[in-house]
Amino acid sequence: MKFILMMTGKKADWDDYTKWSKEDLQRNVVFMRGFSKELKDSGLFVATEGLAWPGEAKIVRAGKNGEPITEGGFPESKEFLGGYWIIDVESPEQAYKVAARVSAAPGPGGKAASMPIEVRQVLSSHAEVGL
Amino acid sequence: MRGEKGGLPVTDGVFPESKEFLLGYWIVDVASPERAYAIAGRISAAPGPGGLPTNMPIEVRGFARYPEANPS
Repeated sequence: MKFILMMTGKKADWDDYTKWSKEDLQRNVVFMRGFSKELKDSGLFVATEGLAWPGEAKIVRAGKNGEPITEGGFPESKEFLGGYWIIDVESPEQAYKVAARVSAAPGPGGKAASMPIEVRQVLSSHAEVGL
Repeated sequence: MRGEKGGLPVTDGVFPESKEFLLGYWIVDVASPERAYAIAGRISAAPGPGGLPTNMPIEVRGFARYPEANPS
């Protein structure tokens, strides 16, 4: 079963990262690097990406003639995806355990950040939803 | 999902009505943001009920360059 582990937060949460000391950021990067390597070594890894800051996000809709219409204003309450991992595991519980490991990544002062991780199953094809 | 003492997972499955959920995504490699917006516009025009365009909103984001995220 494939699951996506998403780091989501409001823009203000992501802005907080810019206030971290270099040492705190470095410690977090070392953890994340080790975490991705661990997923690869254990055969659970499918994909990971980190996204650009929410300030660069746009919402696009099709206009009448098919031209894209972009909007860049978002409510403060909107959550933005910051990055994700896709893993291939045997059960939802295994995905939750992996998510808990990411959630425990070190934050300021090296304390576990307890960042919330949204966990969702990935459906690989339309056939899986009966289409 | 949050890590807790001892790294045991603590799950929480209740979400506010206002929460947005990701349903799917495409990753495209393009030369400019405008090209990405044009592609997103095409997806937004996918047919919905009665064959009319859904005009579904498509969030478009760049990727960060974190080489450490994808060690070879």
